[in-house]
Amino acid sequence: MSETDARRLFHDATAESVLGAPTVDIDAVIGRERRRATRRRIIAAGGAVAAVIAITAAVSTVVSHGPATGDPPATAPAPTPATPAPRATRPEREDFALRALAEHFPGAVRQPVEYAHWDGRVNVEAQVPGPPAATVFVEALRVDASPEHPCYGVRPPTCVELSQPDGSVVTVSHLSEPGSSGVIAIHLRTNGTHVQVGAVAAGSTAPYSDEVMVRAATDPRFTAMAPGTGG
Amino acid sequence: MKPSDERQFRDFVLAQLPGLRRSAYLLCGDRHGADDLASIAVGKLFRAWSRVRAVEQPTAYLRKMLVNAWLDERRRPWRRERSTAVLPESVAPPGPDVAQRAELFALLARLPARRRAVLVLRFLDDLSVEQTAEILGCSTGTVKTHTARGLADLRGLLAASASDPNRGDLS
Repeated sequence: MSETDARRLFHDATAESVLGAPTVDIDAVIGRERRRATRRRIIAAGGAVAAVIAITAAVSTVVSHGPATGDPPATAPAPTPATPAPRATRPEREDFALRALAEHFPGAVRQPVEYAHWDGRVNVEAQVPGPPAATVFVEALRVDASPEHPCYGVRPPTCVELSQPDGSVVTVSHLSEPGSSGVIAIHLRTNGTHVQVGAVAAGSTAPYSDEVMVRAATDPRFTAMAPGTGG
Repeated sequence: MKPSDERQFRDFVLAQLPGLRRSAYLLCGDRHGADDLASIAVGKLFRAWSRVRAVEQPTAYLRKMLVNAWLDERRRPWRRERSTAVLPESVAPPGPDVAQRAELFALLARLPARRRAVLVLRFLDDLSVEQTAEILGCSTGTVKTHTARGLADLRGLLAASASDPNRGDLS
């Protein structure tokens, strides 16, 4: 087959009579992007306000009580999140992610998948023997300019947004297609880190609860594994 | 975005949309999925428009967004084929040469993602080897290799079709 034949074959296969009228609505796309931009600005502003409040509170504590000495605090400090080694390669970050993933989804065994890593994202997919037997995955990336709206692109659009104390947002989406169901939690951090944790399984019920998914998505180790986070 | 920029964006998208949908259709093999992909690419373009409109070839940029959107979509676990007890209803899109299209999409579905993208960019979008390499982020040698192997695959499809009287005529 020559290149000319291939061109003819492809053009015939995508004739307008085959594709039908477009359903792409440019006005809807523009409206959606505007709302997304507004939401990003609100999230960024919320993060800045939260940071100012936290700094103000810390300063006033030091001024009124002086630096802490002697007895340990009554409540145990939050554990320092583990991070990948500095300058870790992508395979090392993925191994790190798999270990963390297995803590949230016990028994998870990595499943090699062909991914395009052109955007530098780190992602891992694993099989959990169950019950419920499920495919779970996590991916993390830095979105410098324009993060995807987490609720977009998921059908049916059953998506819930949960504000976090630090000004970030977690969305939880439920998927239902013939024969399978899934749930995806996406943590959109104010620093541009985007962590997505998903689980899909056969049947009509999501394999894990929203709480499990949110806990996994907000795990600081997944944030740390995203490239460019200094982890 | 300023009104003049938005007008420019709309004009550009309207001009590109038919070609964009065709490429998306060959990539994903589904008319509705093609419109979804085109919509995602147009959204990404809108966000980057102030930057993209200044580049020399915004069309190539849009193609890159489309291919990346397709790769993103196809790697989602729920997008992959899985066996189910219930078969979704499916009707072949209207138009000529239904059997031919079915053969072509069956072949494309078997190809590795990059080779499929190379074939679409080279033979549907009529991009050069260099432009294709730029969009896919690979070397021109890789594009040439995928092109040659893809053409060989298509040739094999033709041969199989010609030898099977029950199949559609692809020649």
